[in-house]
Amino acid sequence: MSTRDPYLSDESDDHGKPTIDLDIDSPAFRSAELKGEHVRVVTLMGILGSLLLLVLVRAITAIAQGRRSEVWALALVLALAIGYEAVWLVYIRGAIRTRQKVSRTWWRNSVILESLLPTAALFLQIPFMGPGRALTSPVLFAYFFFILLSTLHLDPRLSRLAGVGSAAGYTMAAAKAFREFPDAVPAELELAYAVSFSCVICLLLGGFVAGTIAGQIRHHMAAALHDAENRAKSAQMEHDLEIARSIHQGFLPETFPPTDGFDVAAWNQPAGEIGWDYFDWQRLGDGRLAVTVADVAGYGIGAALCMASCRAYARATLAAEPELRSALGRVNRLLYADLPPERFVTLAVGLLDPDEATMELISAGHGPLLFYLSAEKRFRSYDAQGVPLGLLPDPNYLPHQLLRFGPGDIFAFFTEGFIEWANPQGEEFGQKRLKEVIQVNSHRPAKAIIASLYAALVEFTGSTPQPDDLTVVILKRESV
Amino acid sequence: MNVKLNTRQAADVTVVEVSGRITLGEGANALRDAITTLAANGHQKILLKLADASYIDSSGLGVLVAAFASLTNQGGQLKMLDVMPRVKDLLLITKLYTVFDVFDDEATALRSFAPVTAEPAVSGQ
Repeated sequence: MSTRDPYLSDESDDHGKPTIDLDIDSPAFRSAELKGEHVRVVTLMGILGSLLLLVLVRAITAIAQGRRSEVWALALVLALAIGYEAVWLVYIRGAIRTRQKVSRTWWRNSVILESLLPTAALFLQIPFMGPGRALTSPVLFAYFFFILLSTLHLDPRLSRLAGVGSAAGYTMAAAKAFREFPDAVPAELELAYAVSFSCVICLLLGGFVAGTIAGQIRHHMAAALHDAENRAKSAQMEHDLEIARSIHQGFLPETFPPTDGFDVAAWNQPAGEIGWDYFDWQRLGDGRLAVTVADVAGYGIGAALCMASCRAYARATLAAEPELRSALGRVNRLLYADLPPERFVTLAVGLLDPDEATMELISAGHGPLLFYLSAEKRFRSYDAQGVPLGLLPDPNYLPHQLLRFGPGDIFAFFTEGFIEWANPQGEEFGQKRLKEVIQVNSHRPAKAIIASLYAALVEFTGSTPQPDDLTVVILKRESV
Repeated sequence: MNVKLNTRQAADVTVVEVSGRITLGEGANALRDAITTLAANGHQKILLKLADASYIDSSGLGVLVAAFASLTNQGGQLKMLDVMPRVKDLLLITKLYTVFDVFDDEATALRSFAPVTAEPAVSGQ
């Protein structure tokens, strides 16, 4: 699918900005062009109709006064012109209704034909009025009407063509007049030629001026339509993002189930419009609680879609496969088949047995995984059992590790956003500070520990924007 | 540009000196394009010198792993040299240290490249 902007050309102006394309291929602009043409043709028909009426009144007056009138041929030309414009108007209305594109050839032919109408009137006038009067008659103004109205084509090329066509038509009429009526030219031959030449130049200049005006109108209209279309696209994108955001938030459980002897809490804050970390829990058939935390590589909507996929696979696999190593291998195979080459997911799963106060822990490239031993007031860190999910077809994960919770012990799953958020001096928050906050607040409920972590993080990082999603899950064994 | 790449030959090994930040966008794209071009031009032994690569995010890591897998599938080899502590920590946490060969000394790294074979298998840990 082409992503080229229909309003912009491949060229740039002196300031390096892309210029408005003369061949804009935008439905909105085509509609504006056709509506402009509709107005132009209706206006022209009005002018031609008025002229026809004037000519008929003159003719009837002349007949009433017993004089011969030579304007019937002119009336015929005007009637034919009105007829042509009526047919063209029907075509334009049809194009507006069906949103059809009118080819450049049709536009050019229309302009050329219209330029010939005043020329035809001149040719008819010359035998009756003589070259002097015919070439300086009000028909000359008809050329300028057509040139002026050509600006409504919104195409400088067509306006210039109108000027050239008018000048060429007038030149042909003048050449015919001077050739067929050499004796009718006044004594001031040079003056007569100069006047005709001046009319030709004025018609040409008129076309180019109209072209400049048409170009400016086109430029401003295209810019306005371009802005309007961009605003509409942004609004649509924002709407889609809002939907994606609400779906992502919907994936994250609002609360954890009551777990005897344990206080469990979790929290997530996306860095951008939509998140790509997630945490999850599910109660297994044997009563154990499976807690999952994952971080998708990359950012934005692509990462969010991978997150959704990973969550679904993990949920389904953990429900069916109680052995963590096998489950991880299965989820990896599913994601490896789905994810593009550079995309991967770090994931950690803990199977908490509240009755035994133990937890089986396995990690696919995910860390940090911190276990605070309350009685000893120290931390134990756990390594991953293999590489992140989706990178290799068969990573051969190591078996899970078994943790035993003493009273007051705390296990914390984090995503790396907590570690990497740096202050204005470039220093990252780091694991050391994480551990200090947990230790200082270890006596408090899990939710309060999370709140303290975030408060410490925000205080440390100050004004720097959040670079990555923040996700934390705290499992704390209650003190006896 | 966030990342600068300087390529040189050391016998039949192409050493790519990377400096800057290998992150989503310009940095990761530049590294990906460079390795893809080298592989397409027949360079099957590539050593990434990362002494001056100050930061690598998950996108950059993805590029490295994808490049490693792609080159290995073609019978080539991709190794790393002089990884900064921050990047080393990342490779340790994610266990990617077990996938890549990482060296601290260029001579040792260059000697470690085996003759290129037809179709070696890609294996994990």
